[in-house]
Amino acid sequence: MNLRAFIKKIQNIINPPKEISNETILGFLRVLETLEAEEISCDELYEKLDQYVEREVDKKDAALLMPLMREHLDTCTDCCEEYEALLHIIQENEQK
Amino acid sequence: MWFASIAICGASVDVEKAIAEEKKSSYIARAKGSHRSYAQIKRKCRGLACKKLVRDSLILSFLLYNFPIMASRTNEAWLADLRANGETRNMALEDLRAVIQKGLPYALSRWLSPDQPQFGALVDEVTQETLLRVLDQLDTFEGRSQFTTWVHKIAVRIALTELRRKRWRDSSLDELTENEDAPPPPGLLADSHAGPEVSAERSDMLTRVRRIIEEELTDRQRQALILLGMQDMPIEDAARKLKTNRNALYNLLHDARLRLRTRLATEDIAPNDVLSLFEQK
Repeated sequence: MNLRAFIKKIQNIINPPKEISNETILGFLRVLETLEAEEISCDELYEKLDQYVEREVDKKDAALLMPLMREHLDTCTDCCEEYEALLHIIQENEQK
Repeated sequence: MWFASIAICGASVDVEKAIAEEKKSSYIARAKGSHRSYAQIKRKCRGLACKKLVRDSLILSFLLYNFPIMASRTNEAWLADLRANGETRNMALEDLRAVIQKGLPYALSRWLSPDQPQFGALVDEVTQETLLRVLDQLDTFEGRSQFTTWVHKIAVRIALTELRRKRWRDSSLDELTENEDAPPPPGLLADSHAGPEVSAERSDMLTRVRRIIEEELTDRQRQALILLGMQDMPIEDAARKLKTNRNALYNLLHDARLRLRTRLATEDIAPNDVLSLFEQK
């Protein structure tokens, strides 16, 4: 983060924005086209994350088999970070 | 590994049996004219036993080093060993600790490198917490994946939760000194190459979408979007600020997305059309 971003962060804390940013709106729009009416929660995704990652490393078709998981990962940054971290570990183990 | 090999090999050496065999052969030798005392026989047998021990442990060490799969456990073995008592359980915990610590650098690589001062302490803390949680939740493991993958998943959750908490609370000084020379990411509307027509079109479109959001989404949903837009606040932190939990917040946002999509469709606005407007030069 540079000085400008730091100052903006402090300003956000002191005087929180009352408006949704343009970037947030566009980020929101990005996932609308493929959105499924059905959803799974973060906890439900976490329960199956180990299976999903192993399937992805092994056969690379996890998103096809578990599309709701894929959709959740596309729309939830925290879960996506955990997925990518776990994927990295398992891929490295496979290579060794 | 060598000490473990010694332990394994040592258990298989029967010193007393070796003494008995040597004693027997000494009777034969005495009958042929040479003699040795019992103490000498015993010393020789111990020497032979030690040589055998060293030789076997070296062979086993070599095999374990070059073929580590020999030291790995099946899911059932992990569960059994972690549920056992005493030395078996302790060894299993030590092996599991090594598994966790081997994986964490890869999991944390996006945020921390091993040469950063807080790395070691974080890994230790996460490893300890992971071991405790694994033992506590052992009965919930269903065997649908490798046991080690399941353990890594728990470690990742603990590590990233801790990192997010620290990042949001303590980011100021570290991030000031980090990447100071890197240019800020370009804002989506701050495209100086866009002509006035394109800029006007973008502005109009965003005004329309913003009006729809205002009319369609609840106050709480709008509040959630504002929070998440603030410096990429993690969902967990946003949930805390909204006095809810991660699952509920995700549901809230999912409902918001469905409402927005339905409303955009009635106004004949396709999300991709809006986005492609911002990809124009």
